[in-house]
Amino acid sequence: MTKFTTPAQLTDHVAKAKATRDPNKIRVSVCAGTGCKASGADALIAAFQAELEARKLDVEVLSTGCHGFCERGPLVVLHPSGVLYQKVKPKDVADILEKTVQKGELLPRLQYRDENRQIFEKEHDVPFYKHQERIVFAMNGHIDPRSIDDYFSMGGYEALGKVVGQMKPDQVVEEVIASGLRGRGGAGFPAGWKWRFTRQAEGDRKYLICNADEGDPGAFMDRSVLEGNPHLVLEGMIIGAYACGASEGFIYVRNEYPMAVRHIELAIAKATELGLLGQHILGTDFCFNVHVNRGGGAFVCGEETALIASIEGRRGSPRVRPPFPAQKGLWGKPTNINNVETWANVPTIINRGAAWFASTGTGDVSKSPLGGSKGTKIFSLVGKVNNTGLVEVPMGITLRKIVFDIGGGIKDSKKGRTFKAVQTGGPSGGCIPDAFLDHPVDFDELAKLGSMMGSGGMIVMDDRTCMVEVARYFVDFLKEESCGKCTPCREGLRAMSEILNRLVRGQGRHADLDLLEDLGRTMKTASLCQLGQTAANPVLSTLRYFRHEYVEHVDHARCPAGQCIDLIEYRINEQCTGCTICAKKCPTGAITGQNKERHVLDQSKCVRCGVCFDVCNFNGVSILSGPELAGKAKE
Amino acid sequence: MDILINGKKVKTRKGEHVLEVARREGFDIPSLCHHAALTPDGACRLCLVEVEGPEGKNKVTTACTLEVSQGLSVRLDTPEVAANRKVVLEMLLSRVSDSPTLLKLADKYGLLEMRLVPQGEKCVLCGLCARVCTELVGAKALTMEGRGTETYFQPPFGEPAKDCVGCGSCAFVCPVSCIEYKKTDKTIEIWGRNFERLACTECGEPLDLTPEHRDLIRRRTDLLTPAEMQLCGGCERRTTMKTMQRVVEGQQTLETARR
Repeated sequence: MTKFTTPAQLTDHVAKAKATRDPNKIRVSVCAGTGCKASGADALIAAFQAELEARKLDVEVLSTGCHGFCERGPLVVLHPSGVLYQKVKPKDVADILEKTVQKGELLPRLQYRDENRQIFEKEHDVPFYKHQERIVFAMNGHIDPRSIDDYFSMGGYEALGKVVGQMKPDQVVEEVIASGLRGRGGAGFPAGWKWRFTRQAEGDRKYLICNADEGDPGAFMDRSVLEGNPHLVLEGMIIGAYACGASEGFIYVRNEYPMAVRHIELAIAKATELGLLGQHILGTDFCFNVHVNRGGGAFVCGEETALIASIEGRRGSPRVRPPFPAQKGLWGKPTNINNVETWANVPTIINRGAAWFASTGTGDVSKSPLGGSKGTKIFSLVGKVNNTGLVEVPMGITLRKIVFDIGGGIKDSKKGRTFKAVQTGGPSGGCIPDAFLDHPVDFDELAKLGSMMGSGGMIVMDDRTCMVEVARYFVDFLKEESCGKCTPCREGLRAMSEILNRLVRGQGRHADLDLLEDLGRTMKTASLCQLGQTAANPVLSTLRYFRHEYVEHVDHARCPAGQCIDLIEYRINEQCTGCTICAKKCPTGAITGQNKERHVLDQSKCVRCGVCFDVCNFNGVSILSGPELAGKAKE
Repeated sequence: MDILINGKKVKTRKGEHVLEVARREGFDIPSLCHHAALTPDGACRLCLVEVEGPEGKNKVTTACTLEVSQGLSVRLDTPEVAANRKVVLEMLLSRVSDSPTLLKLADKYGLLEMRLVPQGEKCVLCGLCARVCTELVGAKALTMEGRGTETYFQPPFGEPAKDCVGCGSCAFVCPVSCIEYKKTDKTIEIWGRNFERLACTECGEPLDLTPEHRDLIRRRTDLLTPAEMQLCGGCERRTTMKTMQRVVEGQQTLETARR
């Protein structure tokens, strides 16, 4: 392929590539995202290739990016039928090709079953996928992220041709504003407004940044987008550069994401080769180069001013805004910075139009993009749900739908586990209790509940999760990841950590709860950057909705959820049938007993890991805490 | 451009920050990390003020980093400011409990009870030392290391300061006097380094100048010759007088000749 020298050439090429993609061709789409790779996707792909070679079948094996349902990996989807196989091993390959591909028979052992053992045949029927709406992830299961031709064949770079060929920069900006697209990195600031500020800012040079410094524990959507569809992000950036008047772009990506780095570098090289990047893009005067900048793994570098400092080679410390990066950013020049997912939405907005994009979501953005939340959002759904993974859902969907329909409900609900809370927005998000399960999920509604959208972490907690311990965990994380510059964030987190560590040991005082609130309020009001301003959220939201748990820890040294190891003991009760499973699973050998006789737990050897409780099928293990502990001890 | 501070109309220039304006007008705002000669940093968060926003949506922010703008109205004395300032002060005092500077502030702003566990640290992490070293001195000998609660200002890797010139500016600006700076007639000791202390070339009085500092100044400016730098205050004045005398005499000679 040679360099495109006019927008029309590109448009023609994409149209041809789209037309020649045969929808009826049999494709085996194997997820080779990081999760599935870890469960052996590489060997699986090799097995498919070898087997196809041997059988001389006209079937294409696609090594694709993340499909989202990581828990069930490695995932295989057969196109065009859409049959989904999960947890596939290389030894299953022959069967799949012979039985399913050649004869059309299904293999029940590889099919997805829900909690009630109901089988779901096709990917789009599986509840995990059924309720999703995929814009950003639309191509993920259908293309090889290393192939620009695959991207072309799905309509990739069509938007770029349209923008450079037919639209003025201002029109592009207005289109993005009209779409209502808000920043997916957390704060939800209208992307188009930022573009306009950068466009209007005075400067001989302007920069563009893609923030891929995803640091929230448990969040991996940006990683999956970059790994699975790097050209989509790149196309969004090139369009953004055209709109903002930027000549140089940077992708700040964590060095811990080696595949994302590899794939985006490959994409940049290929796009440059074809004249979609570099000098005189598509033969016009528009020039734009993109560089990859690897981050060293500091959480705070996700904050835009800290990120900019890091690219400049300085310590990743946030600075006061204003001036905003759009006015004074990288090396003092106007800089537009957006998150991976934000960039990845741009090509679709151009292709399908602002009105189409704004038809999904909440509120009315005809007057201002702040009037609602539009489009979709990817969440990484983790914790105590049956189906974990990445889910892309329309803005405004209820928490209940995400947790119970897509997530398949609470894990071990048959053993009596129930929903307690969902934590959204990463470490500095808040915990939302069941009373708000029917609340719509969007930027403004989550903020009203004392949490936030953040980058889209979503951790589901059950009744065995102690909310004081949750707050302690996140505060300890943030205490280490604060940049240490401003007093409220640094000292506030240290003080909070001390108090919470005291509380989970049952050594708290009543005054501690007020003190936590005082500290939290000041951190929120007086901290320099968003990290500090939101760092108190886990504490304030759990105090707001689960204060009684805190009070129990203080008043009775009791952990109602039975999680704080200093406050609990596991006991084997009269329901024990002597099945011996707990004794077999106990990692310290603390449980002894004969078959079919009630077992005994030696407290001096118990490390309170809870394995016995989790494996017991007869409710034969009880957790005692607080006064009941003292009472039982006397028996 | 006029702004309002506590309702009082005050004249300002473009690019000024509220803290310097307010102090010039006699308003009292506490701060540890601000120095008129350095770029504002907003680290200590003591200089909180409330900015009046539209529809009663006020916002608390730091005066040192708040640039003046048309129609700006700030209040220094609101309950919100007082409450948050008190907690920030309490946090700082838990870190450094025995600093007279902080104890005085605690007294002044009514912080009566300490609810946090004292940490026994000496440094409040205001960052003035590193900023003066970088921005004014130009030695860049100090840096902020670590992160979170394990943050320190020190020479890189905590080793004796390789790039330090022994000027003592850091110790001079430190609001809690926690930087050790020792002088004898012949030496200056700071950040694990021992410097030779230069003496006045005229009278032999020890100067607050080291050869490294002199060389650094030479590299940064040619306004001062080494000979001029190595004079004590008194001798410098005397030499200046002599020079001026020569100039005056020279002018007189010139005028006489012209006549």
